[in-house]
Amino acid sequence: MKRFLDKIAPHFHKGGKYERFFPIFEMVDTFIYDPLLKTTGKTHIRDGLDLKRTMIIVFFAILPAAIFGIYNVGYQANSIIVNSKIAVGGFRGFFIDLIGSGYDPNSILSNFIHGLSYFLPLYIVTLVVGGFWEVLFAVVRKHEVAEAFLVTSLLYPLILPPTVPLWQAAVALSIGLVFGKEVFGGTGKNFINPALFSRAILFFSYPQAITGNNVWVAVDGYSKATPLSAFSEKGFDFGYTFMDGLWGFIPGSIGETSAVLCLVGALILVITGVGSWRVMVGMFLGMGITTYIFNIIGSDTNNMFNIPFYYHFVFGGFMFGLAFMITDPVSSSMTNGGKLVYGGVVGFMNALVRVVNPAFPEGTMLAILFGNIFAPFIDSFFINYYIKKREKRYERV
Amino acid sequence: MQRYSFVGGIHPDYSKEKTSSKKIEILSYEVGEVLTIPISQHLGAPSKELVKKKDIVNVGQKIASAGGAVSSNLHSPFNGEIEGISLAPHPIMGNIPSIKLRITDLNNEYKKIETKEKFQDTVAEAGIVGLGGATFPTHIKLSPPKKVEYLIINGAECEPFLTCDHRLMVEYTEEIILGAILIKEKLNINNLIVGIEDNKPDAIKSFEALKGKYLFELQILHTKYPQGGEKQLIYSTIGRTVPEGKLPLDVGVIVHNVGTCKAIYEAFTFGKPLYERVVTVTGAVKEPKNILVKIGTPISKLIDYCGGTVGDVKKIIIGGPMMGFAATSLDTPVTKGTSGVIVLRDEDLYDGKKSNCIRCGRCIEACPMGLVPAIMEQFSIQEMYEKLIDWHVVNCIECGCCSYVCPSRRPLVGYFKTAKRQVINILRQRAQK
Repeated sequence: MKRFLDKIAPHFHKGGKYERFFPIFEMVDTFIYDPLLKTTGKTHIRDGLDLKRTMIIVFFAILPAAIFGIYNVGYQANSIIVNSKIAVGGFRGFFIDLIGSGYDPNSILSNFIHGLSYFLPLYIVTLVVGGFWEVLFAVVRKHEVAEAFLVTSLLYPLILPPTVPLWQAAVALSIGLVFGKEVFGGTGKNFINPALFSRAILFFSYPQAITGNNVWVAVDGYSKATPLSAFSEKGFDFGYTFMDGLWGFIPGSIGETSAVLCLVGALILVITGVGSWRVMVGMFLGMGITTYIFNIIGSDTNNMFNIPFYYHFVFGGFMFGLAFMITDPVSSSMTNGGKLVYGGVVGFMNALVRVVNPAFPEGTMLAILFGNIFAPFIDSFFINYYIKKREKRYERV
Repeated sequence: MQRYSFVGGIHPDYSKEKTSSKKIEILSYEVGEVLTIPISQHLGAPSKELVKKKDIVNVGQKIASAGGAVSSNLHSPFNGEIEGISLAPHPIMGNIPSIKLRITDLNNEYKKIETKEKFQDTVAEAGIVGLGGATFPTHIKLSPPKKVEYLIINGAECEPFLTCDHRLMVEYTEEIILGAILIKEKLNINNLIVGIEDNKPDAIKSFEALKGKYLFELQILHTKYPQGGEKQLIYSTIGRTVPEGKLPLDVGVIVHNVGTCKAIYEAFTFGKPLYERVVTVTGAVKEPKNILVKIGTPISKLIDYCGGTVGDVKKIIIGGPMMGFAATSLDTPVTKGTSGVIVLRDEDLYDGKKSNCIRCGRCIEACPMGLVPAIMEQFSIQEMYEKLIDWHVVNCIECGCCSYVCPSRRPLVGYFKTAKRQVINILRQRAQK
């Protein structure tokens, strides 16, 4: 393989036949082997943590939550199928019959394969559609395909409900990637998180595919609300406990259900120094304090006011957003103080959308997008503050 | 024990253990060898040569004199014959005129310099410059226009790989202290502080042993790059911030490197001019060593002395790996500012490809001066120098922390070096108006 790549390499370099396709070649080559190009700079040694390693660490941090998410999709579906005997049609049913894993909610393998039958098509569509745009822009603009795309394409299916129609996901992703990221100049230049932006497009263009009670469990015609919307309707007898939310055996978007595994991912990011703990702490505090205040205020008409503040941490997309979405460095603040405030703003908005606006009990996405837009503003505020502080320090001397 | 430190900075892989316990060895020379002595080994105007072809010179004889107010003298390291003056590679400045000296005899007795009435003039006569690497002529630093409250001796040596100052502190502790006390007494400074990073316990021990004998304060600093930066050191030791574009003197401090103190002591008591220094030769060489080298020795001789290189050599760095420069030729001579020669192989130069900034903010966290490299870089690329003034690019100390941490491998500090030069020009023009 290495020999093959070395052999065909000259064709792709400057002057070669396929010079235009150098980005594609580079992508394959660097993914498997070392990078071809080396920068030479004034500092002769560099930190081991580069962009590629960053992305690989993020990828592995997401993995536990993703694997559990896949299992949970199957588990939720299978537990319904066992009781109601609703047949699984379409290509998914065909393949599951082919493998012969059945629909037993007690069998880990069966659950996993059933979940995979939903996640895998979604992931493949994301990779193909997202990869198409990424490569197209890379070829036209003559830069390399950025590794960030791998992370975006893993995150995107995980924040969708399992039953979302594939073509709708593809359309939303196209719009989200092109207008959320590529038109601004690709990786690093986007001011909002492209995966979340795509989801927002889906959210507002095809609301029936991503909201309501029919989409969260992968069984046709079966309706089951997510814990948060259930709480907003029924109040305290919504049928879930804190521990359910913590472990994650609840309906929801594919990757977001298990708070504890998202927390594991968050820990990996913090320990390796990839994700900023400041942002996470900020969001945690913002959410906790705001919802605690709402608890104190209370309300007779809106159940969401009464939900204990710690419930917010484990239900819905909060933990997933905290671990993987808000820590996206591109769209978050840069300064240390700014990171805390940015996290706080997102947490606050999250609570606000969830509690005050009963139409959107899942507010994490909107809150983070809102935070993304304000991140540079927060930064500029802090930078001005630093400069003023420095001048004061000079005067003291 | 309190450890003093500053905000920002990085913790690179120090790789000092290779040479930190090795005694300083004296490099041996042979009759007939040729040394190349560049006539500009310091910051400021180049020196003016005093010798011409076929002149016979003695050890310690002045061969070039200061060519301006900010300049310094040069002395011959050997008895020998001048072969001529021609262009030769210099570690920093490209090809510049250099004096070629052929050794005719290995006699080590140096001609004493004329001792002047004023202490500063003696230092100037000995051609002493800052031996930490910046090579600013020392006599100017020792002529403060106002009262100095603190004298700080810089024993941090925060650059990875280098151990030359470390060895000096262990082996020549008393000389360093005596040199420092000399400055202190001559300039009437009240406080003398020695700052050493906590990764050099043996150096700390040797200084502590002398505490009863001489009067000085020893401060143990947190090991962090760039702890040895003048402004960082001042902040770490006495908590003062040097204002933008000002010198440490403006806050009543002067900082000297340990090597400079030793040179001052030797010049004042023995009349010895500065023509040799300790160089750390490390990296991919067979036996990394600390060597006492005469100025003008080509680095190839140093590398041969250490048993030659190992593996596929990619780069040879003169100075430290963070702020040093890659050598363009193996004939590059050792100058007064050469603290190390580091041989790096391809695999030591781990580097990724350059990609877009992902705004992660690691450079902001690392910047010891509290700047915002990520945004300033954009201004530098767009050549928006006026804007950079507002973002305080003049404060940049070019330590390279931002480039080191950047996950996108952007050459941040390179941009700022260019930008700084432009910005200083603009400021100068403004001042003229």
